[in-house]
Amino acid sequence: MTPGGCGRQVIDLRHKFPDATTRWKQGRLTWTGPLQPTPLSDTYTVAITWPGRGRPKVSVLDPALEAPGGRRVPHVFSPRELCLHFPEEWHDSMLISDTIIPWASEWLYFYELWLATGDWHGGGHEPDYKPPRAETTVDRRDGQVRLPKRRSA
Amino acid sequence: MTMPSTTGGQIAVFLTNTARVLDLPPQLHAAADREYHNVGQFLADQSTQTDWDVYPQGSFRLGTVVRPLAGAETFDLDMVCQRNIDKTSASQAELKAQIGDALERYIDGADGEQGAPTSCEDSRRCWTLHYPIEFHMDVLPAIPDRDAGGTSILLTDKKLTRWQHSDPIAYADWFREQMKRELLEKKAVLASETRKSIEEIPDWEVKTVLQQLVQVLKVHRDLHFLDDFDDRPPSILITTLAAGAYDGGRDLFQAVLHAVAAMPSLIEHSDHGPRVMSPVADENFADKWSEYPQREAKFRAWLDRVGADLEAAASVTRLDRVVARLGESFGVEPLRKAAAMAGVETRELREAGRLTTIGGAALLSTSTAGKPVAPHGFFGAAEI
Repeated sequence: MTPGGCGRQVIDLRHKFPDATTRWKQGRLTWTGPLQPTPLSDTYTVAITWPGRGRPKVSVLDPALEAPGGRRVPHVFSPRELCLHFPEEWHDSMLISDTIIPWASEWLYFYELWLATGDWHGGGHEPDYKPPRAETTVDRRDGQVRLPKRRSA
Repeated sequence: MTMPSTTGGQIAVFLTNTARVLDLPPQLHAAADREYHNVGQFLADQSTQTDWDVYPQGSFRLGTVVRPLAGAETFDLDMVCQRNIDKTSASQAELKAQIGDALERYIDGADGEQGAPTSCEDSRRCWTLHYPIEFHMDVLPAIPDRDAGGTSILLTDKKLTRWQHSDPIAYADWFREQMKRELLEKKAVLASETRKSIEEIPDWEVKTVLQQLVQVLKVHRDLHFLDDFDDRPPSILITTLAAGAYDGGRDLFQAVLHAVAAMPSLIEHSDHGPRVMSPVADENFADKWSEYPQREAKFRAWLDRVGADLEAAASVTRLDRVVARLGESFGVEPLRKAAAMAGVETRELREAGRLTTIGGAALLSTSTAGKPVAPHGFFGAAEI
């Protein structure tokens, strides 16, 4: 990505998210804005930082992510930094507004449902590619939900 | 599934999924259908002098069955066992005894067959067939009501003294008429998706908002009157008022709110007391309210409570809190499954390229005006 690419992201983000704050300082892009996956969801203040190459870093600033019952929040790098995509799924020529931001909103949706059900329904998998555990499925014939066995907290 | 952009629309997703989770599963529907046929065929083969009609009535016929609350309980289905004789030909006690004998022979004859009933129990006004699968069948002895004509019937009552007027077939036809447009639209969509003709799609393969409205009201009723069974409003009363109040064209959240607000005005008061008349027979579904006036008061209070519970759920933010609030009113486990179903179907929307985002806060949507959510998989430790 050329330095000009960072400028392209800034212009695009300012255009599409006028209520958010988009800064570009010393070659580093910082976007801070509200995300609300559904009208019944919390509104989260999310920060995206990107040095012009590599993976944009996405953090939930407020409210703090919760993990009840001693569990840990799924699909995060740290207690507030989200894992949104596989390494090969994002590259510098992609627009953050078209990818990272929708993915973050979607992550927040599945996070709230994880709080509700105890299971992550958004798919994806772990970096060491362990065999996928049983996923929740919906039976096409009867609409019944088959839930994986709940792990102890 | 769609991803609604309003709070009410989101509540409607959870309510709709709750109705789906608690509905009679297709394999049980098919098993019940077989039983209606098999019992009818058995009775026809047994008797050369009189003919019989055996058919479903009540929630199975209406498509408004809900799973009973307690996990150990089985679905409660009804079967009308109609012997086509004159009223003067047999007393209620004789009719009930004839049907009981026939059902015993049916069980003996079907011994060991898969899906056959295992026992027949005397339940005062009816017989109850028990099955090794998750339903039982209340078999209601009946004869034609030749004075009323049409599909009217006379049912045995609890004391086997007075015939009860009823017309479950005409009632179901009336109920279907209230939702006909949506039913036909949904059947047309399913027919197109499955490349069938609309005639090949049975009614039970689709669900209308009216059916789900009745289902969620019954679920809320079951929980609300859990410790007050005697004063619990009967399903037929709820169904009649809900169908009368239903005006179509709404999501399930709006439909419930509208119905619980409009249902009280459909209760008539005459010199003979409160009346909720059957739309098809001379049957007052509120006939017990004169004797037990607290039942009407509790019914009205319950309707207010349903509305208040939904408004309360819609005023909460964060989906898990919404699900928990709805769970208080409609059952914790059904709501957990309903939420899981929403999650799975949202992931499927994204995988199908139908999930979009709209607005400055990246609200998830299925609006085609939104920005499609690009394919991706959530990476990182599932739980670190």
